[in-house]
Amino acid sequence: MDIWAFATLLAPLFGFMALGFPVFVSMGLACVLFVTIYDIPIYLIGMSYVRGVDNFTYLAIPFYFLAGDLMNRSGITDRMLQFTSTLVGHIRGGLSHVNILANMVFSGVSGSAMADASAIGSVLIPAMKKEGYTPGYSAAITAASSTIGPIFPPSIPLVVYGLLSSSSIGDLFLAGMVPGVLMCIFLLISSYLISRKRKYPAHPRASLRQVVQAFGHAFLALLMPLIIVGGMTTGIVTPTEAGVVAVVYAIILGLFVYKGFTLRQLPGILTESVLNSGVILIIIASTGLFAYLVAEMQAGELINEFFTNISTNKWVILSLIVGFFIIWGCLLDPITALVVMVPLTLPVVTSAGIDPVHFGVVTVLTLMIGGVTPPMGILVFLGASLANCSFEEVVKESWIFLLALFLVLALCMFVPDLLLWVPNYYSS
Amino acid sequence: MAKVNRLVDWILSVFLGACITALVVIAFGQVIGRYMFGASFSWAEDLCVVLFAWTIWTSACLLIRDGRHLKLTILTSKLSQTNARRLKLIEAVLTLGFLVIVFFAGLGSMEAMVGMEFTALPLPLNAKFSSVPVGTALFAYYILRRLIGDWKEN
Repeated sequence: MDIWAFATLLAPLFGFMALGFPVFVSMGLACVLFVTIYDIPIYLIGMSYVRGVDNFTYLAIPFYFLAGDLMNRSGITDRMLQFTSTLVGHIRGGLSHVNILANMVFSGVSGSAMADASAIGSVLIPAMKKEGYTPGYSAAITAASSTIGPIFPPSIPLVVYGLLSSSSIGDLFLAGMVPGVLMCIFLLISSYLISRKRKYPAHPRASLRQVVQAFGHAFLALLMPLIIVGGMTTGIVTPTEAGVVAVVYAIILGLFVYKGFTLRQLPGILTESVLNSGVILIIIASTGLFAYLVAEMQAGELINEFFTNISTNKWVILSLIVGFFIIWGCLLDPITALVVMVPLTLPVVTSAGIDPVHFGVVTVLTLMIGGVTPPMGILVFLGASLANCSFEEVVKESWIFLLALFLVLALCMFVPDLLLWVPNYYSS
Repeated sequence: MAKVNRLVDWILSVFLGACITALVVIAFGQVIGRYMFGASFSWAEDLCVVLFAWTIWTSACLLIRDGRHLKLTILTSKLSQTNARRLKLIEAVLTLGFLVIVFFAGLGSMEAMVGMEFTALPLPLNAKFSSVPVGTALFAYYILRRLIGDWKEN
């Protein structure tokens, strides 16, 4: 493929996106232009919208969305917060630690950074402000800790990456566990350092009885990630089946145990939730033709040549791609970045000898960090709106958390075994 | 016209709800069937793929109605009201053009699939391929509806 053909595909895509066209329309228009110019049979376009998602595995995406939505509506937020509060609330800066740990625990049922930030932030940010934390700090810690969600299993971006790269979703979930825990630890250390300096308050230490009681209240919700990851790693269910089991489990919990919604409300919740996932699904359906054109025109070779001209060292190549993804993460939704960039960069990565599972987790982590990186970071905007403060206030308070997240990213990038030992252990 | 619009919205919402409910029931039935009765339904995955294709297009239509599709607004948010309106019009026209092409491409792919059936499901393959022309036609209806709404407003 020559550079002009490559530009013919990508320039309209980025151009239409910059003009504010819906992402899937931008992808479609760019592909239609390319197909017309290069005389490719037009019926392929119609076929690609079905072929792009013509696989039972893709159902995992709406199922994980649905499970997360149902759990959020079942009223588990308060139970999770109560439980995490009994664990870390007594340390100086208690509520900021609760915020981080709750995001970690919550990620096991949700898998989306925006959902985690909204659910936890809407409860904790007002409480933090009331206890004297600055609005900027409250928003910054909420935004930073919500990035744990899409790394710790189950994770919607990791499911999408797995489908795009034909990697094992089970391995990706397992590989995301250590980085998720590391992010939590690094963020806890950062928030403790700031809290000690600013003398933020701590809550009275919870008794063992209170901890056990809070654990009991949240226990059934905490089982959800175990069901998903356990079911997949033991081979009892496929990733898609694990998703539907999680949906049914969430329905039973919401209807009969936590009583967060009624049977009458269920159809409305299902429809709303599938609409939330529809935003991503139509983009993935559009990827069919895009990925076909990229593969057919051997765009991977061109990108490979570009990177190997700079360096053949796999760490340099990985660093360059990560740098690029950080910029993407600042500007755009992670799923869009994944569907556009994974088909282009995966051949480079695999030929450089980088494990696709390692690359997947690093990519999603990078895109998430992009979401809290100025000047655009979408999660920073969300935090600012939840805390009712300016974007700049949040950015000012974010630097230490960003540093913590970048340290985790560097560890994950250059020590692949840190991620891969868990899936390797299970596969052996 | 408002009544027709409401009826279309209602039909699509009910259809979408029915599709996702059926998907959950069938996929969960597969797991239960395999582990509790030692039997899985060979047609289930085919039916899920058909329902999934329709789910995607139906949700895409309802999302355009609500203006919820993913888009980049960094540049467009800085435009004046008049320029933003102009750009919206250009977007609508280009999107309609794109939908017309995909509609006919979808019909073309249906033509190529005539006479073919799923291996385990007694349905023609076009049960899933027809989602593209129908979906694009409905999508175009929603774009036109929004255009007319904007025109009336201004």
